[in-house]
Amino acid sequence: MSEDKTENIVEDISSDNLTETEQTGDNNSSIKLSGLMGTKLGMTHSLMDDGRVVPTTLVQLGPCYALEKNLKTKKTSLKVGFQDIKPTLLNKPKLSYFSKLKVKPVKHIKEFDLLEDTEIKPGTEIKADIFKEGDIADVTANSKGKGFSGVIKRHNFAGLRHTHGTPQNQRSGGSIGACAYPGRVWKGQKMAGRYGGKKSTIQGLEVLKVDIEKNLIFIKGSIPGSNGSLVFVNHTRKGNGFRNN
Amino acid sequence: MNIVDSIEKESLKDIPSFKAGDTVSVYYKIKEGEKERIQIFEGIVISRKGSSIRETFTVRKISYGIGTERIFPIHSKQIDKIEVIRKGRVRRAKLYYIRGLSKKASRIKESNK
Repeated sequence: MSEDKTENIVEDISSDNLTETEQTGDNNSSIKLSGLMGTKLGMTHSLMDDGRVVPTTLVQLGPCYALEKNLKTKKTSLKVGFQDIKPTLLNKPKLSYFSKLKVKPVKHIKEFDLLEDTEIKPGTEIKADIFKEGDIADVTANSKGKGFSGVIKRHNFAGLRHTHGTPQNQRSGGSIGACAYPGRVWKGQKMAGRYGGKKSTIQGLEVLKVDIEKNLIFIKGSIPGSNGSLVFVNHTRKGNGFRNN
Repeated sequence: MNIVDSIEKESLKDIPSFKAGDTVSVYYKIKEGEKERIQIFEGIVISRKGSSIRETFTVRKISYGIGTERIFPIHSKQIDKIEVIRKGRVRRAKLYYIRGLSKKASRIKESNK
C-alpha cells in the first residue's frame, strides 16, 4: 500500500503535471526578490572599455524555482528551490511536499524576501534578472576549509623574529598570558586550530554584468568558497547600492 | 568547454602573431577629457606572458636615452591595433637580459622566416 503511494507521488512529479507550471516561466520578470542562490563557477578577468582589468567571479544563479510564500514572517518571503534532485533520493514527507506544490523536487530550499508581493505560481523559474548592472551585492557561502592552522594564518599574528638567537619557532604565537595574576589563560585567547570551512559573507561587491540568457552574474572581486560550491547572492544590506534603486 | 572559458573566449580579439624579439607598434587609445586620440608605442617585445584573456606582453624601447617598458593586456579594448614591423631572430622566450645591455649590444638580427 505504502509503496504504491510513493510511486504515485514520484509519477506525479515526473509526469505531465509539470509541463503546465514550467510554461509559466516567461513572466518571471515580475518577481522581485532580495537575492538568489547559485553556483560559483570560477574567477576570470574582465576587460573594461576604459582599459581597466578587473578581477571577476562568475556565478550561475539557478536555475531557481519559486516554491511557496512564507506568510508567517513579518516581511513576506518566498521559498526558492535550487538544483534538481532525483525523487528516489528523497524521503516520503519531502516528496509529498513537492508533489503538493506540483513542482520538481529540488536539493536546496532557501527563503528570500519578496520586495513586491505579487501572485506567484509554484514552479516559476526565477532568473538572474533580479540583479542589474551596477547593483551592490552581499555574497554568502562556506569558505574553503584550511584544516588545523597556526596563529599566523588563522589570526594574522606576526610570529617571532628570525634573528638575534630566536630558536626554531618563528611561526609560534609566543606568550599566552601573564603570571600569578590571572594565573590562567583568558577566555578567547587566540590560538591555533581549525580554520575555514565556515559560513562567511563578503559585503559590498559590485555587479559588473548580468547575462540573463545564460543566467550568469559577474561579480567584482573574490567570493568565499571553492569553484562549484553553493553561494547565496543578496542585494546588499548596507550602503548605497540597493536602497538608492 | 566550461562556462568560464567560453565567457573568456567572447572577449578575445584577433591579434597578429608575434613573439619575443619582434618589433611592434601598439596603437593605444588615450582619453583626454572628452576627446580620444591614439598614441603609438613602438619597441621590441621582450616577453609574452599568461594565456587567454589574461595574456600580456611587454614592449621595450629607448626613449631619449632612457629605457622604457610598457605592459599591455593583449586583448585590451584600449588597443586599437598591433602592427608587427620586424621579425627578430632570438633563441629565448623572455628577453629580460636586454635590459642590462648597451644599445649597440641589444640589437636583434632580423629573422629570415
